[in-house]
Amino acid sequence: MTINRKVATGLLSLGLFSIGTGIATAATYYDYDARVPAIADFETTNKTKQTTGSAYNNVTYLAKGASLVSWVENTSGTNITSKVTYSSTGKKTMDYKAASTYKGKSVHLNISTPFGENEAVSTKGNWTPN
Amino acid sequence: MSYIFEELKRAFWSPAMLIASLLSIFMFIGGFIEYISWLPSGQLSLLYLFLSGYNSGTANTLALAFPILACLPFVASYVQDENNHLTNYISIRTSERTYKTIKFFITGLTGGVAVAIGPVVGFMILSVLSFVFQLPLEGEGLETAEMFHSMGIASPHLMILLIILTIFGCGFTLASFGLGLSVFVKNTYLAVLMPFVFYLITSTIFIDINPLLNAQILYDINKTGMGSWPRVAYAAILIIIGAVSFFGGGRKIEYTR
Repeated sequence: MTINRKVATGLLSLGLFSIGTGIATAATYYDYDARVPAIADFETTNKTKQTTGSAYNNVTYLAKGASLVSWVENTSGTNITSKVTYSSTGKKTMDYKAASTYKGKSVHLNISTPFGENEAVSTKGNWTPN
Repeated sequence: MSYIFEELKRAFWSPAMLIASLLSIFMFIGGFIEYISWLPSGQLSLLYLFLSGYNSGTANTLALAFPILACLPFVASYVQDENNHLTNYISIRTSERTYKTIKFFITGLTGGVAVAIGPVVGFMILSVLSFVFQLPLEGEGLETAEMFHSMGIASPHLMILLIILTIFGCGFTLASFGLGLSVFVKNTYLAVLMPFVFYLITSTIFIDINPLLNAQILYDINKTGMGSWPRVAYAAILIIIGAVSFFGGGRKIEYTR
């Protein structure tokens, strides 16, 4: 009986710990709705990076047949992640060059059209610097 | 037979070919040069860097300039021959049909080589860098690579080979098309620029009618995720238009032998 109680307590603690950890690490996503010009970039407002993980761009809408490129910049405009090129919706991962350097710092998402995309492109989605 | 070699030498051993080749190389390298500082980290793959010069990222200028590079070496050669009255003298050595056939295929060849030489040299440079920095061949999340995977192609080297062949075909097509148009414009600068203007029109106006009408599909193997048939059909139509214009149009060369 004592053993069962210990097992139950242990499982409960583990469950609560898992939930607590999940809440603590859940990334905050920020919405965007943009018409990306053919020449200039679209930039979101600055958000604080919370962890040392990769940034994600969850694209929910992209004009048919169009391509876009997204990456993350710091406040001085330096590219701090790899660029991801996409022509379909879905979650895109952008890896930081040195993620720990930017933890607690303000960064923003940058979206641009690649060369060869000669028209403005409409897109929607949400992103997290993580 | 010697005329073919003379024409080949004239086409490939020329300042215009040298300029087009250097531009192709610099533009392709320019596409991945921003990642040079990333190399020691080993985070980026060989394929990622190659695609950054080809169709990904924001510095892949080759994806915009390829029609000009394809036409720069030899598309204006027929107009130059006409303006210099060289066609009158060439007809002494060979028939009009042979002259035009050789001109047509060599022009296409120069166009293909001029555009493809950048990716070929870029790949050689990246192979050395990949060996030195022990880069992985392929990373995750590359849309073009995923397209190849869906076709059952898993080897990054085969992907790169197919991309280079596509680029060569693209250059051949636009140079052939440009040569056909040059018969009507009769101006060396316009002859070089006409396919680029055509490309801009298709990628800004025709694309709204149907994405398959965008001439970018000749260059970008991943464009709109389509198979190869629309690309082959597009290329065949442009080559036929170029051939019909070139062989059927222009001044009839008098055969004076």
